[in-house]
Amino acid sequence: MSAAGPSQGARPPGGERREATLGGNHTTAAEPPQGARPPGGERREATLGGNHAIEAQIDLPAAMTGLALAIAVALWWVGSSRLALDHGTDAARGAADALKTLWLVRGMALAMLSVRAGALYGWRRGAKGGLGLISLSWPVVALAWSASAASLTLVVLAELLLLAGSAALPLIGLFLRRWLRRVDFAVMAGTAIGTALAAALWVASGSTYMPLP
Amino acid sequence: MLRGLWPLGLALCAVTDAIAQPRIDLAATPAWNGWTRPGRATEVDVRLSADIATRATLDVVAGRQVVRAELDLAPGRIVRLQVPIDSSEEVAVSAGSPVAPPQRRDVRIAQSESPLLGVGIVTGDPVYLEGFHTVRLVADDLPRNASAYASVDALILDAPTLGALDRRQLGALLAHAAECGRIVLLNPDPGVRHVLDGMGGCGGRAVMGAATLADAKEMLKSSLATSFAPAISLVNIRELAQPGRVTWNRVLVLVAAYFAIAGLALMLVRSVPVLLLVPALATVAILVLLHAMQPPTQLVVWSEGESGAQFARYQAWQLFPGLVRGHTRVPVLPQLASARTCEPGQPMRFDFDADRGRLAFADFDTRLFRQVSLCYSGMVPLERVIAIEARPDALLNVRNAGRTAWPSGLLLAGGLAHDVPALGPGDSTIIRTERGKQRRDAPARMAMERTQADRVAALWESDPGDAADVTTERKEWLLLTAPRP
Repeated sequence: MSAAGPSQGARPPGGERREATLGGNHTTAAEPPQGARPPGGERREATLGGNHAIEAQIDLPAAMTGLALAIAVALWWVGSSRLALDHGTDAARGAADALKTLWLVRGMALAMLSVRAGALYGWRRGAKGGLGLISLSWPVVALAWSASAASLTLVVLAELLLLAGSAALPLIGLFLRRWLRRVDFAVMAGTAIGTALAAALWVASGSTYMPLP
Repeated sequence: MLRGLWPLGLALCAVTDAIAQPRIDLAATPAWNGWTRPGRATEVDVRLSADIATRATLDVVAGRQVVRAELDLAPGRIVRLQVPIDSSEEVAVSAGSPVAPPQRRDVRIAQSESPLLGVGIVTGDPVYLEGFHTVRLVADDLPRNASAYASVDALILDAPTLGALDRRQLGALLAHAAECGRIVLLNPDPGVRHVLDGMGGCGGRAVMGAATLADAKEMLKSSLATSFAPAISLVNIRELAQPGRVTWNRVLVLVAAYFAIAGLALMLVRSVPVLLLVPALATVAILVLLHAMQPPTQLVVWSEGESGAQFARYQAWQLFPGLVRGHTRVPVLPQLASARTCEPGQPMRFDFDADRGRLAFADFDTRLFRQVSLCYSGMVPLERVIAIEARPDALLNVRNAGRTAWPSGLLLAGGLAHDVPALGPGDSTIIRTERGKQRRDAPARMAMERTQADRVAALWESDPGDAADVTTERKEWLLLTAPRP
């Protein structure tokens, strides 16, 4: 019951809670009334008066991050393919690099955002944010796979692993919040764990034993 | 009662016959007495027979290339195939049928780092040419596929060896002569010499006649001091082909369209199902569109010859642009000779037409942006004769001295390109040499690179005309050189 909620004065007009973003300042996210807070200090999923349509909305900043990552990698890959075509070299290497980069940056971003989002807003919003981050790169993944020599199984498994991560990582945040019983501690711990996971992924990506696509 | 058993016995015999397993005999010998050079094409001579009629499949595996042939074997008949292959130290030849155990023969092919000198003389005199590795040959060691002549750098053949060559071997030898292969004929039969002289490419300088072995060696030595026009590399071909950026442009458009739609969907709709549906549907749509918009195959043919020669040699490249991950089966062009893969590292399977003795289909894997190519080479009859006469005031009189009309083209002289109009037989035109242009396009650049300083050249780009089908984009050039006036 010690979760540090924002002051009433920080609430938006009308007392509704806005959808807080993954990157948003958690202290501005309105907490439900104390009486509505579930045991253990967890926050409910944010709703606007219990509107399920709003509940089904995406987490825009996470999705925009996913789109930006996809655009950046796509531009780089398309450019490197053009250079390879102009020089008569094999474009498959650039495509394989694009696949690996896409997987790695999405994995790292997922690790950094999902644990924190899970601690802040609960599992559902964390998972939605993760989906937004991952899914928008699928067409680029499909194109890069078409141009590479990577096995389809490995690419599909890598995407499934990211999906599993988007479902599992918010649970870590949720667990932290329940265990630490304070949102600010949980967010700090979640951020630290997410960063450590992202760093571990980065280090592991250099290992020859890492079966990246 | 015994009479009643006869039909049963006969039936049993028939059944035994029907289920008897055929025994396939397989033998394989490499051309050039088992020698080649790294990266050069060669040939394996395969002999197959069976004791009862059966259908067999022959596989010849050389490096990453597989040649497969389906054969109908008849008892008592030996089927003999000369299969062109890529250079490889180990060649696995196997034959099998659904009802016979597979047979396998491993053929070892030595790869010489030094240039190879093939010597086919019956006297057995020792032949040594500095820097060359000498390979002793008998008539049967010479290949039946012209492409296999790439294995040797020079050849000395005497009259008995020439006389022992079969028709296909002679055809391959003539094609090699037309492609500027260095050949010294030792006391050849005048008729054979005449034929080879007529066919010899590079102005007939590559085919030489000698009275003694010592003369032959001297001729080869002096010939080696002259470099004939080398084969055109794949890099230069890409410049000639200017492979359209159609695929790349399409991918760029698809990616841009997807990002625009995804951005709009994020801004306007914002629902989770849409978030999942947009990329999923876009992925499917992009893959379907890639499958649906197969760009045409490109065929690039570069022919070159000397004015007045009977034949011009050509090199051709068939380029298959890749769009999707998958498997492609394409027919090998029957009108072009000596088909092979342009890149030995490219895995490819060829179907060999045993009746015609040539490759019929090629199978290979494709992927987006990957361009797989088949190479061809051979000779074509040449009917163009160009007569160039120097006139005062830096003028050149260019006359069509042949019996066929020319289309408009380019005259390359002194490092400059001059437009030449279409000329009928006997017609002529005046070229002002100082009014030439520096042409920077790939065909003109290639033509200048391949024209010796003491020669002038005419370059024509052929009109694809009705020979081009809609699935093939053809580009053809003919380079004709003549002495500088």
